[in-house]
Amino acid sequence: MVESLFAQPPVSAAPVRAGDTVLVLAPMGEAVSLGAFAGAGRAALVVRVRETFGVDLPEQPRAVPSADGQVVFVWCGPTQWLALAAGDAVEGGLMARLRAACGDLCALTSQSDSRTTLRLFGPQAREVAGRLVPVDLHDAVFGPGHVALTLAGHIPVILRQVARNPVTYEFLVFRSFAESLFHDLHVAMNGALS
Amino acid sequence: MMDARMTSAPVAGAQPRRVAGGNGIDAGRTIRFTFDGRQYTGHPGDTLASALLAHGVRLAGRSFKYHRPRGILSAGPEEPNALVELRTGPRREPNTRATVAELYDGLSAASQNRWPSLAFDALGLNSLFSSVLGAGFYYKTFMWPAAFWEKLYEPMIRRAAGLGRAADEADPDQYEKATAFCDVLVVGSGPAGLAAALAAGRSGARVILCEEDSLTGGRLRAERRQLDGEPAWRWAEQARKALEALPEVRIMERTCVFGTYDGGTYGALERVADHQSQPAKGQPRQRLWRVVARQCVVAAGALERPIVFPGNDTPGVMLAGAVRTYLNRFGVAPGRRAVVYTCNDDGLRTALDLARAGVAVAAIVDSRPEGEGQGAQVAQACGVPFVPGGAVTAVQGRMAVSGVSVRDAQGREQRIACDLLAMSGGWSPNIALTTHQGMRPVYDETLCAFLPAALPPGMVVAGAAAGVFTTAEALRDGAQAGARAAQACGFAAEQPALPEAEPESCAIAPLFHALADVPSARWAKAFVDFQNDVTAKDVALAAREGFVSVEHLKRYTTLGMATDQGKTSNVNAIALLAEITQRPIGQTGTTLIRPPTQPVAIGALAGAHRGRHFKPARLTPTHQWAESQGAVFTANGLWQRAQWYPRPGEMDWLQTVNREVRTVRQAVGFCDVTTLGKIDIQGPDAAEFLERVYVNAWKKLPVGRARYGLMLREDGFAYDDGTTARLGETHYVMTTTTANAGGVMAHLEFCHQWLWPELDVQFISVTDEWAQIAVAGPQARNVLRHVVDPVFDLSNEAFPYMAAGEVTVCGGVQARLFRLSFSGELAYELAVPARYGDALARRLMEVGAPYGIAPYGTEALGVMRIEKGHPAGPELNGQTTAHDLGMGRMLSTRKDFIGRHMAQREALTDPARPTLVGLQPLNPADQVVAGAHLLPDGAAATAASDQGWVSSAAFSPTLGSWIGLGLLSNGPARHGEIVALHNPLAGTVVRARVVSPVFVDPEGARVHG
Amino acid sequence: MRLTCPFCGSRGVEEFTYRGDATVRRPAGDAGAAAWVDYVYLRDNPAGPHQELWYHGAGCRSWLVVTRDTRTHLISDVRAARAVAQAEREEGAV
Repeated sequence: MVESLFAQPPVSAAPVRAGDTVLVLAPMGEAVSLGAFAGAGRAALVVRVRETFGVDLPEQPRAVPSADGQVVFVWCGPTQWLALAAGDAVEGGLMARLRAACGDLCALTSQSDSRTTLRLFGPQAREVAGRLVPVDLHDAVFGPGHVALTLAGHIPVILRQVARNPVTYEFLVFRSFAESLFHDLHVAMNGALS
Repeated sequence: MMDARMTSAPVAGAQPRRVAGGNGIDAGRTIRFTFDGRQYTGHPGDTLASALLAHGVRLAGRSFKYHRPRGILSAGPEEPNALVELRTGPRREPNTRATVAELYDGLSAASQNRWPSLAFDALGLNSLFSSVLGAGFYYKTFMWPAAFWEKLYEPMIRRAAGLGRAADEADPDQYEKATAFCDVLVVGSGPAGLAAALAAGRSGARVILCEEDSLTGGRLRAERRQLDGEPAWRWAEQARKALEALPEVRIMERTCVFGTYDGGTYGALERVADHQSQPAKGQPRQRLWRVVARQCVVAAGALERPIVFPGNDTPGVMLAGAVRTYLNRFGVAPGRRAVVYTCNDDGLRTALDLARAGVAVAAIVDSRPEGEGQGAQVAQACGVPFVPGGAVTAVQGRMAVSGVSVRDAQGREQRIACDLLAMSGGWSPNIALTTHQGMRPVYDETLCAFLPAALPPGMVVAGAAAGVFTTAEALRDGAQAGARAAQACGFAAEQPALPEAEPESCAIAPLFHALADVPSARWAKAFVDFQNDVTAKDVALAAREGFVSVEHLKRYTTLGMATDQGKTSNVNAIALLAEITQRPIGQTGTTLIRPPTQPVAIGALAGAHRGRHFKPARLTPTHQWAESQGAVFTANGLWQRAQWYPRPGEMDWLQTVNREVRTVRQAVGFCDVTTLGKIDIQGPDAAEFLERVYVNAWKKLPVGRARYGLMLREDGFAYDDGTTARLGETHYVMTTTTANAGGVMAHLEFCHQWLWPELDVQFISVTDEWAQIAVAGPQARNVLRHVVDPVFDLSNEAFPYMAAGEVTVCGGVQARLFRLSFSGELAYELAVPARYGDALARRLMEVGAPYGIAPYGTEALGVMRIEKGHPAGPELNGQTTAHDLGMGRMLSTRKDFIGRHMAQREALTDPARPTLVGLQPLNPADQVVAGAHLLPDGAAATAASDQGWVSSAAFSPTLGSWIGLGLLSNGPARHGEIVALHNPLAGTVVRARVVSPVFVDPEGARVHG
Repeated sequence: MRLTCPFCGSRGVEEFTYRGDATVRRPAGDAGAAAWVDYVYLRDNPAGPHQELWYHGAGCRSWLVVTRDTRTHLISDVRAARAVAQAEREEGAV
């Protein structure tokens, strides 16, 4: 008898809009952190991910997609990455695929429910993000693929730009902070537009 | 009579002092405003000050200490006198400078520090008592009797001296904070600032140009000056357009750069909506910017100095440059018949501008001897009497200037009728931003000005702020500075083509204190600091009393300490002190200026973080469900946790909590414990790592088991505790206290990265990953059997106390199950992915209903842990050792761990240290209060007999008695003894028996059930 | 104040927490009481360049060894603490 539990979204609010700029909760997907073991393990991990996913794990704050586009690897510190995939993108699940590929070379930890993704896009997205994030988001400095581990106001976030047209950011935030960040971004949207 | 006039509020339609010109106003439109209840009109582009002057209103306020009538001194942010209460109701803002308050339709302002009215102020009598209100009066007067200070003197002084009234209601406006980045920050948009921004901007550098005024142009708008044969303000407008067209240049008007901070960081305040009656919906009133700039060009201009002479504070005495600003930018003549009093050629221009605007100039008084400066030529050009080597010795008129006494070079005095005295003591470069990091300016004798010497890294100063006073030189200087700044950022910058400026002279002879040598003038009030009512006499008195250091002078006389921070007074004060102490100005000293250069509202510093959003709230996965159950929440750090779940009919929280405790002890309850920090630890050296951070042993902990662990700080005191479970050979999950979750993570990273980089281990927080719910009570297992999928054996044999493992629940949801107990009952902690937390709570309510399940909050959790004697925050207070907490035997002697060595110190292992005990009052109804002192029974309540304290207290429904945990000297040896719990705040003493801290089920049978 | 994290780049000081002196080293397990007191409590307070430990807690969670002039707040060097510690060990092993 399968009596599955319903999944509750981390933010109760519907998408909000200010002008043409929109803030929306991205659908819940899969997220797995990779923590490289020391010594030769790290280099081996890079090779293994390249073999399996056709991409080099970024060595600086960047996000890179796998060759098949199913998985994005986000730099999360000198020895950590976050692998992200849409809910049904990876057959058998992202964790299982990673475990098979590199489970012996790194610590794999599910972060699917740790992190919530708030997506902000539109003509004012950079202005709005700049209200909360103390990082230079100028197009020449921070563009698509760039990642910043920083604070949005008082809330720790992993920020990444996913598109230039329209400018689109994703805020990966701890689930418990998601309502607060959503509120703060909404306030910033109204303020930046005026 | 006053009231009648205020309510009838006649409209003064005409603006009698308006003259043609006015490059900064829209004379075609008229807007209305009120001042002290009376209606007036003005034009868009006016400030409150210019509009009042246009109506001939010159009395704007009363002074701080003596309640002297005060007018409008300046035309800018340095204004010390014309401070008003702007707006009404919750938006009422005191001490707003009328000279920078932009006029909008419907503006309402009121004068302040007067009663009952501005023209008749009862406290003007203070002037008569000025002999006791001199420098340092509050150190000398009102000293006795001491009791009078709080009850009489202070309230009296506060009523008499003070400025505006703050609003009585909460500020309804929003504020915002933001960060901006650029290559070159240009502060100020006068000739130097515009030229700098053009030079840097055209190189492709990212430029932010901040102008605190509503219009760019600076003095180019205030002067009748030509650039390339056109009015200079037109060039400023063209330059602004050219800058606007550059994609990487951002022009920020109404934005004051108020502070220089480390590492090329600058604070700026943008007045987003202060020029409107109120902000639009969603619009912040003000925005606090943190600007991060690689280079900064300070082109903040200069501030004109008043001259110190008797009566220099009378309404109608104005700065000469301000008179020109009102004429040229606002089209307002601040008087009908003027005397110009100057020590420099720049001041002379005021006579020319006044004459051209049709204002009679009665005389030009130049302190310089005949032949020095251009006074004679200017006087001739205007057809005006000229008094070289002269001085103004007195001002006639009380509420406004009606004439001045002028002494000529031969010492002859004459009275000249006038309603305006324009004075210029020269210009002081606005160098505040260059001194915020402790760099001292130096005095330049030729320019009579303090100039920046050393500068913070990445900063250059240009134009008048650097003592470069003529327009032509300021343009060149600014262009050079802008180009150099851009080059320093790696851009190939060239100097822009600059417009041709007319020749001009800024020659000056020092003049600070006009009549230092005239004995009769000693009795009159010659003001140095207008806003804080500090006179030349006060400075002299302070010097006589030995306050000859500038810093002492400042503190003793309060000079420069008002809301204007001495913008018009600091240099004059130093010059006066130099004169009195017979030292050169350069050796007398400078006062360093601290940020902010302009008042910044607390609201702007707080930004959006106020009220409920002062800090972010972390919500547990069951938050919405708990809300729907009517839970009362409490803050636990950033977390919001359910404190208890009231039910209909329960009279108070205690009744609710007692019911929740009984439910757990007798049936089953559940509680969201997600907030406990959870750290995933993996790696070949994970076990070794745990051995080093915990006091106890970990290597032999089998997979599938959890263990309680205690961490010390390196100084040997207890730091944090929690259970850690071994999920795999090299895989652990650690729990920390809620409060220390972030701190423990940083601590583990510190140990790993800095102390033991050779250990191969990885950490990541999984606090948010799992909704962790404690299910506790004799029926816990029965309830869980309905939730955990049946393939998992939950029997005591298969899953005993301290077991841990992965399970699935509700038909396949991945979960972790731990058999842990904080309550002392048969208990589990069930962790499901956070998204399912809400559903799990609902499921537990459903399947637990037949067993009498109920949710419980942190209060019941706390009661039960006290009943079980588990230490928590009040015991792990940073001053207790493992031994104090009764865990001394946990300290392993077979390994090194953090805190081991220091924990062995004699004083830390002394059995006489206050150690954990239970306290049970002899009378169960006697309330035990945390914080009470523990004294030997019958001992006097003295520090000498103090033997410890009550750390935690609760009413135990299980025992039907109040109970407490305490730290008592020699505690474990004193079980059975009676001690006194002394609460000095309430004056109560409760007698209690010292008992084991474990009140309930001391054998621990229940957890193993 | 701003610090340049070797991994994240230039960031405002609000992302970091300060720990203290980076010149002291944890004594060996068998060190005497004096060495421990020195390590835990005793600190120099130099006027000038000083090596300090900072934590990029709101960023990449790296511990950093920062060389800061205590008189001017000028930051002359920032290194990953882990790299510094590892280099010291290699030196010690040689």
